[in-house]
Amino acid sequence: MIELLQIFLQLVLFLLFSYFPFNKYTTSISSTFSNEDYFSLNILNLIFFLLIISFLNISLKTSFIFFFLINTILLILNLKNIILEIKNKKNIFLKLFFFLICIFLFVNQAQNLQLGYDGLQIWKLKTNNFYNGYNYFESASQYDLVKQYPHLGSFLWAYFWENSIGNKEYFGRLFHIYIYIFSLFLLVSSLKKIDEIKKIILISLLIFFSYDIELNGYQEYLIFSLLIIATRFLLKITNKENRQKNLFYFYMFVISLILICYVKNEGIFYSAFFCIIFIFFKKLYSKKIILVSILTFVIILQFYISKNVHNLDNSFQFSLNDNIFNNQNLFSFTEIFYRISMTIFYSVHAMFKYPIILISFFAVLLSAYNIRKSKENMPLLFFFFLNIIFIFSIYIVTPFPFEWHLQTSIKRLYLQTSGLYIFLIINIINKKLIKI
Amino acid sequence: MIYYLKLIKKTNLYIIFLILVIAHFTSFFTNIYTIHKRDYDERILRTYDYCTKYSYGYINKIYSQYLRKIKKVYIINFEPVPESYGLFHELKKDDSKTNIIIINYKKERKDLINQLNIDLKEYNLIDNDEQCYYYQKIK
Repeated sequence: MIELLQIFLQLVLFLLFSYFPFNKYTTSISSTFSNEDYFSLNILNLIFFLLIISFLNISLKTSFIFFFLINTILLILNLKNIILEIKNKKNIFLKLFFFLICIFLFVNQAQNLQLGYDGLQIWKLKTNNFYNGYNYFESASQYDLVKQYPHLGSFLWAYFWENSIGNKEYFGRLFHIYIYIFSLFLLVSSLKKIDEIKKIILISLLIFFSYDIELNGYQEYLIFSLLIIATRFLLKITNKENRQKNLFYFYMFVISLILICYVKNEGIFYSAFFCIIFIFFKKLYSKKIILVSILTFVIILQFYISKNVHNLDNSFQFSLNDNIFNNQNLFSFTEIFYRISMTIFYSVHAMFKYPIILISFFAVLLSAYNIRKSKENMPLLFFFFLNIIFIFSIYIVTPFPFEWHLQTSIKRLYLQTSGLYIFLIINIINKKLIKI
Repeated sequence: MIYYLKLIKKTNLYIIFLILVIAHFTSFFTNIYTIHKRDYDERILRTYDYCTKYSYGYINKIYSQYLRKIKKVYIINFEPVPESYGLFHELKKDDSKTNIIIINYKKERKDLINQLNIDLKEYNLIDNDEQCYYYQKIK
């Protein structure tokens, strides 16, 4: 029973860290800045600060005490308003549902402790590194065996493990589930004029279609969630109604792109795709320059660290020295044809494993059909196009045994981007091109 | 009673039903029972086994009895599963191979040990349980 109470308190802790320091009682960014926007701002800021801390010699406990104290003081100062907010009947079922679904999945996690293959072989070792007090640069540590992989997800895992009430390893992973559930709520909250019950049904379906306990310890849900958050703010920036708040949305968009780069290697490509989209679809020259400069700096920094700090010969699982284009065998027509057909076959297979992938393909087809009536879907369609080229390119040039690589990774590659395509359907529904 | 039942709106009933369906699909009630019945140590032992697959239980026993101070060991697993080092946050891979834990040992594949340049004649058998062995190099 104590463990269940600890799980409950862990959720309360996550809520505290998401509700503060910025909310409508403590700041006045804009009167129309929604609760979801404030939640996103707090979560992104927290993760961004933790990313910075991962490079420094600051202990996990010290930084936690700092954040916890600030948030607790703000909670006490605004206690009256918070109680009123909880009692407020607006969206009461949605709030209750968020709380319950978190508890359900947290308890599910507590019972299913087994980590997936990469979870144990790669990400948990990185987590142990941070849990034992090492920072990112302390490569003397022997815990981290795959230094070319980014570390943000593992750092968050170690951070919330070390600072959990139960001090059990899986408590750190609960944060990944929390942000995953939050991102689904964020996704559905973009739907205009729809009642609570429909929102709850949609969220439940999205969870059924995308959640997989076998991905325990993997970083897929973290990148899935951050991609949804980034997409939401990209769409907010492109929305003409939000001109006054554009700077905040732009800030959150940039922060989420930086974070995506540090979750998984492919995150760098996703961020680059978003960057390309921003250049193509926005006319704000100053912001284009800022975005490109920041992301270029982040990507170069990662390469620099891989090459010079960790003395690695490879990055993104490919050697930095070998020229893949020297492989004559790889570029024979039959080989490419074989690889493309197998990739298509396993793409279909992935759709049955995670139905959200099937829904995302359906969303792309639907929005392509309605593109004249719903032009705001253009950026996401362009993202889809770039992503498909990216996925097929990976399997054409992979240095690993082709089929093994395909079988073990393609479904996860599709899964992590599948959430953001749901915005395509949401835009169509908001335009009343289809009804639900 | 009827008065209170009338207060429950149709929409609320839908939501309650939906919540119960999700609770069922996430095995919420079974999970609550299991967590209540079995503590964390027991659950993790059941997940990673005592002396099969990851052999968490055996490694944990050896770690508690012999390796608490040095925190280094070389684990040889005859099963094709991820290495068990990650399960112990302080345990490092002992590249000098002074302390060896062999798990899921299979006689027909014993050449695996030779492939790793290990001669067991140079080691003392300290502990053995089913197919799991703990060896220490003779100084």
